[in-house]
Amino acid sequence: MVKKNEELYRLENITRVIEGEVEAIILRGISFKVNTHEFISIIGPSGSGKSSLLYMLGLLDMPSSGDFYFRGESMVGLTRLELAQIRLETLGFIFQFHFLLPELRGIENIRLPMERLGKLNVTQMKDRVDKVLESLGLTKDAYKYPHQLSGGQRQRVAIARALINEPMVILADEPTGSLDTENGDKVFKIFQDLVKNEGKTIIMVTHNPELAIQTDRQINIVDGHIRGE
Amino acid sequence: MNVLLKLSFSHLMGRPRQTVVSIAGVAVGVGFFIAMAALMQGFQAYFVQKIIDITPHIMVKDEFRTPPLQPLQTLFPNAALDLKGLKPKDEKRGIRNHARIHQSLKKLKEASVTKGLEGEAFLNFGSKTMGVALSGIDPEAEKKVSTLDKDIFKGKLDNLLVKKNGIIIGIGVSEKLGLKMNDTVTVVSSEGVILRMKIVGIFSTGLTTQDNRTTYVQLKKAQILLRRQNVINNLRLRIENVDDAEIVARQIENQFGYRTESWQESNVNVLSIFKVQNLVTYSTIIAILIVSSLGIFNIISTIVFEKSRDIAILKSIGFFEEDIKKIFLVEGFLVGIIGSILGWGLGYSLCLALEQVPISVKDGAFIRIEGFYLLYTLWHYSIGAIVSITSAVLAAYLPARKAAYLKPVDIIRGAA
Repeated sequence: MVKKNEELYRLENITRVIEGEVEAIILRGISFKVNTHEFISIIGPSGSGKSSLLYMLGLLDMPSSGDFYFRGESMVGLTRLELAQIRLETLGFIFQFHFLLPELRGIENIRLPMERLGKLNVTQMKDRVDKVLESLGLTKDAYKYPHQLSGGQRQRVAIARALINEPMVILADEPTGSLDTENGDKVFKIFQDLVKNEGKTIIMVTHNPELAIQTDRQINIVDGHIRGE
Repeated sequence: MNVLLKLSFSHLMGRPRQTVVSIAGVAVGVGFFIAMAALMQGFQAYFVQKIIDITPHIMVKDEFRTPPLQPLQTLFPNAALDLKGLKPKDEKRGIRNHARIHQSLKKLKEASVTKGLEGEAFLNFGSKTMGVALSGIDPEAEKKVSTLDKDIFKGKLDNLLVKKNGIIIGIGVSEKLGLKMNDTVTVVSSEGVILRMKIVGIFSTGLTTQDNRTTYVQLKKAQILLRRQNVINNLRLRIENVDDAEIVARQIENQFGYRTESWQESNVNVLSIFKVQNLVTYSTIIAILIVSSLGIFNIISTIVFEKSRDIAILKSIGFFEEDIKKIFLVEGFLVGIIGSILGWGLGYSLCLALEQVPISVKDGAFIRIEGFYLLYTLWHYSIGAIVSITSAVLAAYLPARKAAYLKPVDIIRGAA
């Protein structure tokens, strides 16, 4: 388990400008830190830049200027391959929509990151999958295809896929946005468990103030600035 | 099964109609290539076989490749020489010292040799006259050097030994002059000698030039007709390994000086046509394969477009660009290999079907054939498959590359 209260992310004066016919400034000078074992929600109106920030934390996007440290190392200037390797080993993504590959069974979707990483042998992989399936109550439905699952089950399969490589950080973009209240609460409960019992760090973008208020920290983003915490 | 492979499969299965069309495109390309190549090269092989069977592999002629040097030139090899009013010596044609050359050629391993005298003559029969090539041969040795004996369908070669004034004609000559077996024909040589000879054999080789022009008589008779006692003007050889003909021909020419032609050299005009033919065959196939590659490019581009969200997900998980590329290259490969295998079947069936087609080319054609001759060789099947699989993978490369460099953020943002 990862040690508590160590610095995980450090962002200093981050900006993100998308160049094109019309220059769009998405992030204007953002600075903050994230420590391990934190459950953070990023809130703010649509188009404020909160998703962009999340993708940057997920190493899918890089800042136009500013310093960006992850686990004490600068991420600026790393190759796409290096970033992909870090994503594979330390990050788990959960999106608003489940985004499962429709051609693969639930269990195959879950196994994808693990097979790509290729660090475990067959038995270890099976144990890991069984454990994750059980913890998320998916054992029975693991072999179904996504279209055979309910919305809540799909999102739990997506969570299982995000967890399978035992990442330090879970990045969630409106994870409950497409779910009803009951399933949304279930997912949120899982998140709280992950932070409390497994020492994960979760950064979640949400529109839902009721959920946000239950997290450790809320970062409010308006117009590409941090309005407050 | 590897997950990436499963993705490749299911992408193709997800678009069955387009996939089938793409595969069919490759199959047709490969199939037609196999059939066309079998047809073309089958015919060529048949033709070459005919040449090898009928004409000598190597022929020593009573000519020289370059005119003999003037004595002055041998004396001053580096001098600039301008000779005017030079009168060529009226030399007696024919291979000199042929008995000695014949003896030494007989000693060649895996080779048979015969000597002959060729000239021009006219055949008169009734009111018809026809110019022919008169070929004086030694019937016994001839059997070892050409397939003439087998090509004679009326009478036989040995008749020349029995009937001293016998003549063997081709089916073309027989038809044109209306000559039948045992008819007596008047032979007028270019030297003006007239002999009445009896038809003792009619042959049919399939090579029109041969069947319409050549007549065979005993060497002795030819020497009488052409007024050249004890003279021969060709030595013909048949060797075991026909591909060596050129090498052996050069050795003989170097040794004795007389112009010596291998069958390849004598038929260089036809053989060069074959090269052009092959070029046409291959370009047609390349054209068909380009069309089928466009089909593959199309389907894989469509899949990439359709599956861009999945690609984004895979990349956000941490899959490498190379992994993504692989998915789509494998799709191209699958279409290529399935198409090739079906194309093998199609090509083989086309060959079998072509074999059943009765065609008959007789009069006036270069060669007489009945039906198509097809060459079955694994080469065609391998070339077809290798070329089509390679082009399928190449066609998949562009969309695969595009997929690999998609930016996940753009797509996830668009989808959400």
